[in-house]
Amino acid sequence: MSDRWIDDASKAGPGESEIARDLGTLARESHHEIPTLDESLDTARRRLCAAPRWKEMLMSVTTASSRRPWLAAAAVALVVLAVAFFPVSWERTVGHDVALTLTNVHDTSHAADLAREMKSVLGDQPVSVRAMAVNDATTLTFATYVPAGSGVDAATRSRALAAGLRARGYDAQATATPRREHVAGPMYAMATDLVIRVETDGKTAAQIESEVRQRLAEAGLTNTSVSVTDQGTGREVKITQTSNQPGQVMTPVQLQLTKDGAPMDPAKGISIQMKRTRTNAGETLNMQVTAQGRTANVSVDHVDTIGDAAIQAAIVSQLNAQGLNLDVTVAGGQVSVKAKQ
Amino acid sequence: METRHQARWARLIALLEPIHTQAVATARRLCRSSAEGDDLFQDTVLRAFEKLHTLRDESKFRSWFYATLLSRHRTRMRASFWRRWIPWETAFPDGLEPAGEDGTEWGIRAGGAARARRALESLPVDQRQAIVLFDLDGLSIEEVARMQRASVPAVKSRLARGRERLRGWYARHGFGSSPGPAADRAASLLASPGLAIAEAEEKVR
Repeated sequence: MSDRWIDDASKAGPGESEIARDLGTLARESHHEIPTLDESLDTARRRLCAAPRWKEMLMSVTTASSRRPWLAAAAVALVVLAVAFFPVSWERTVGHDVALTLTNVHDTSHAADLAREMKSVLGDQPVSVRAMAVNDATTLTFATYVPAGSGVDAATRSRALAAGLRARGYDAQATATPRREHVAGPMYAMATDLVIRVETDGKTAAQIESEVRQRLAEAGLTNTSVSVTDQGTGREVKITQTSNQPGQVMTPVQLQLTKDGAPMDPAKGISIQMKRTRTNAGETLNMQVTAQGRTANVSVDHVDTIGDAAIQAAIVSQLNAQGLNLDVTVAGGQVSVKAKQ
Repeated sequence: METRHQARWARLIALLEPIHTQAVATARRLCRSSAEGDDLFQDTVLRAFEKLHTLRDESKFRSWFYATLLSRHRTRMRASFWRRWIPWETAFPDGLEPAGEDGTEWGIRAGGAARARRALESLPVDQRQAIVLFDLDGLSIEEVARMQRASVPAVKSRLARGRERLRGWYARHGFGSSPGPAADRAASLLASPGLAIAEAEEKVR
């Protein structure tokens, strides 16, 4: 093994002389026009200046990922898991404190019956009663707490109860105050909180609207308005979040409508997520429209200045370009999208 | 901070000076082209600059620098990213012999060097490094072992296996003791540098 091919080309075995000659040629050729040390160092220094440390690190990460794709996949999965289980804190409504106040009550013998009635209306929650003498009459206050997970729309039912009592001659007022708590938990739990699931089967538009509003309140979203309207054979559910604080991050809400417990067929409806953002340059409208099994993204700048007709034309043109042919109307800046009749 | 930076460069330059030419030549021999070799050398210089504080004994700088060079080369060759690129000189050979030289002689030399590069490229990285350091650079087996951070028997084994593979490559391409069926065609194509070599390999297979 001490013999080198190049040195011993003459002693090389059959076929080896060619190899020895070629290797010798390569050895000589690699000495051809070798850059000086200064030239080499100049180039190396330029590379050092041209590639910041983070770029070098990024390059090595990219190279490592291309060599071991499983490593990249594992790293991504790890990050997703870490983010999903990373503890975050947020506010959510854990229930409602409901108070039913009856003023000018002269006969308090029915207080127990009224408490039972309230208890049955609000899902068998314990009811406490406080009586306060005011002049020659009594003020009765019935109080209870309705937890968010009980499935009872505390605000609607307490208002309905108060209306019923007023009809029976009582001077009744009901209030449902959301009880909000600062909770901490993994991020996926927060995301779950912001998915609004509403069963639609057999419910009127008003019932659905009330239920959606309650779910939003339970999720701690107070800057939202809800409207559910029947339109011919269809039904429009609209959730609007507003904020006048610049830079405030809007909480994304996902609405899941179900019928007989199963999610409604998205191909049969139109889902629209609309966001208006105001900057110094003007107001921008962003929409994500899902219909006919397709999703289209629409963005219209300067909606505060260009007028309804121009907004409508821009939306229709962008929807058509993305394969959606829908009926768009804009009136007073309010956008409505429906299936073509 | 700046002064320490400059002092480190100055120390590296002083240590590199005696081995610079040889190290650049080694880098070129390890790679598919001279340009790629120069790039590997600069990459190694940057790495050496970063790690210079780990060098305890300056008398061992040569082995230390070569070990870094071989490590950078191994990393590059294992990264499929680099193998996707064709060296500029291979993709676009200028085809012009240097002024004042005999064209035929230059063509034969260029063909031989290109053939040797292609043959070396077919070897596993460790075997290629062992052959380049021992057969082309003239280092001792003990030195190669130190640079490759391997045992002497391991280097001997790499040399033996590498040589066997080289013989096989030359035989398959129509050179040596057992020419293949397309030997004549391959030999004529292989005599020219650049893309023709890749083309010839394709046809012989």
